[in-house]
Amino acid sequence: MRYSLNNYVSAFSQVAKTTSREQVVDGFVKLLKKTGDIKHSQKVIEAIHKKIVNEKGGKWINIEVARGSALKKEKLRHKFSEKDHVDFKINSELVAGIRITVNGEEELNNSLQNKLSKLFK
Amino acid sequence: MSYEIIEKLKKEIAGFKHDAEFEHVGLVTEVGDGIAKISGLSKALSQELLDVESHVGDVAAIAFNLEESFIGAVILGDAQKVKVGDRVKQTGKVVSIKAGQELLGRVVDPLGNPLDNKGVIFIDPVRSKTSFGTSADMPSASRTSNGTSPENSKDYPLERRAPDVVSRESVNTPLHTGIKAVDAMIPIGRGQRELIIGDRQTGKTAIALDTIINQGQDGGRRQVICIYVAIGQKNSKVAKIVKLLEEKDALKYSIIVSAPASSPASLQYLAPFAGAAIGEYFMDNGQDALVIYDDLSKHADAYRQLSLLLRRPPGREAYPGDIFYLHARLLERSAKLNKELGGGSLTALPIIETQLGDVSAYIPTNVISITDGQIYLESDLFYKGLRPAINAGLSVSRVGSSAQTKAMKKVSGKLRLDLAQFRELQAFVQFASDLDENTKSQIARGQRLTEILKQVDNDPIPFEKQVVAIYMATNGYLDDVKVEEVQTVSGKIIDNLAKLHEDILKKIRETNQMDEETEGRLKSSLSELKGV
Repeated sequence: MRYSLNNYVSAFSQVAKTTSREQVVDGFVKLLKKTGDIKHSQKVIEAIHKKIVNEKGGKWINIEVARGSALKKEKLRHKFSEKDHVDFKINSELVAGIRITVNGEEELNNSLQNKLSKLFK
Repeated sequence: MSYEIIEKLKKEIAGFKHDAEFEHVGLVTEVGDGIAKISGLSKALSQELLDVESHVGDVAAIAFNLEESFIGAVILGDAQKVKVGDRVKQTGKVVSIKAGQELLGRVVDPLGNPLDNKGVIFIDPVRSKTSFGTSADMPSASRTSNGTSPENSKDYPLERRAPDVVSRESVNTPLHTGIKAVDAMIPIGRGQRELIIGDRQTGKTAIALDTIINQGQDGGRRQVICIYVAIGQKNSKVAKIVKLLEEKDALKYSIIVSAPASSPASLQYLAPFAGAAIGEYFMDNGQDALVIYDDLSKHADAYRQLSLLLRRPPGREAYPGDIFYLHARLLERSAKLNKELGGGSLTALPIIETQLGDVSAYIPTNVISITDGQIYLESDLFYKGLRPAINAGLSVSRVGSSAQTKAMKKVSGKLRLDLAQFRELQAFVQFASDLDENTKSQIARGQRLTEILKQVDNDPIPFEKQVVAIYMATNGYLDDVKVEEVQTVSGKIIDNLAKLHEDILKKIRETNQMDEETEGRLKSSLSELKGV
């Protein structure tokens, strides 16, 4: 990437405070095309989304389970605050159980994969 | 037997408890050239050991650059295993090495893993007691190589603050190298840092190895534990060194830390710190240790490589700005501790390789200024056949003279001055045809002094014999011997002295002095033996 994610996110959030939504989005897409970072747009959008969630006092939650049938989205969603953003993912590597990551930094790993790896360490 | 093992494994599984709790994690966002960029882990410490959970097992890494939104980490294991998206966990530990008496005679990597196929170094005490009963029941791989107990072994951090001023005392015990030129003119004391500097193939490693070998025969003082750190050396060279030390029976008190040229830059960077940590273990236990860093030029190169890959700004000769601090903090860990702290010592012999004798390059000047003196080796002298090729004019020891034995001080007092005068006259003589008797005798004496200081590799001479050899040369006992026969004649005289008047050598060795009575007896013995 030509500029770091942080720089894009900071620039976007600062302009968004003073300019209309349509204008910011339009200008931002043009900027990404100009810098050649449009191919990384997904990453940039996610980073901006995270920043907005954090600024509103929410947390970025990732929930991974091993099998789709075990995923009770609605029940789990209600365990978190309205301000939080909750992402669900099926990850067969976990074998069984659940793994919850908060803001990409803190992790509660109750998967069988983790238990097995700790048992044999 | 298999039934018992299965039962024990079943117990382990049944007794396994796992309480899920929050852990700090990060994700690898970029990886290449042994460096990983990790997002998250905002609470990681500098130099903290990280665990990268790769698809084929855990890989260790060290947090080097702590930046606003990511960490630059150096991968210690196989960097090929690490992929983008791998999870990284903090361990809460800094890089450390397990140090203990069990390391003696072993070859290890900078993380403490054995490289010599002699089995596990330390027994896991918990495993040996709980899972396998007594040590007698243990599988052979779990026993230490020398059968000692691991109870005294300790984890020593690779990065550690050097002892402060109050903990130290002045250097006061000699560390004999077994090399006449060094022990007489550039004496080294226990706790000193003496640089060995010179071009390639001038005998730098040979001096270090002679010093290690000599520690086995330097009686009357505490045994020095020797740690040889090979940084960026060829594996074949390390193998030769191990073989030599084994042959000379010096491996039993030596430890070799090897980060060969084929190992990643991260391990080459850590190697001297691992050597220092092992040395500190012995120093803290009141023992004397000697650590040889062979060589710090390659160490600086490895650190430069890491720093450039971590995108730290390059400075002079593309080395990072903290290259001086890197070597200063490493060498500052050498010390002579005071009696309250056990009186142990850690002596350092760093080696620097110069390019075409250029001592004014960046790294040589840095290390010269950090150390307490240097042994300067010259290619010209080496090719003239003067080996060890020590330039006596440029070599100094700033603190070692206070640790020199009285006997050596007495006999070598005039040596340096005589040699300096000889070199001056030698240059002058090339243009003059007529010389007075005094000048002629000065030149003749100088030639014999130069000859007596010549020594072959891997054959260090005990200190008391050095004293006698230098005494003979400085007091005219060899003046009538042909220059080319000085080595042979002096060797024979000393051999006969050891056989016929062993008590004289013994007295010098035990008292470290040459009083009038001993000198008188030595004089008469030498006159008698010379006649023979």
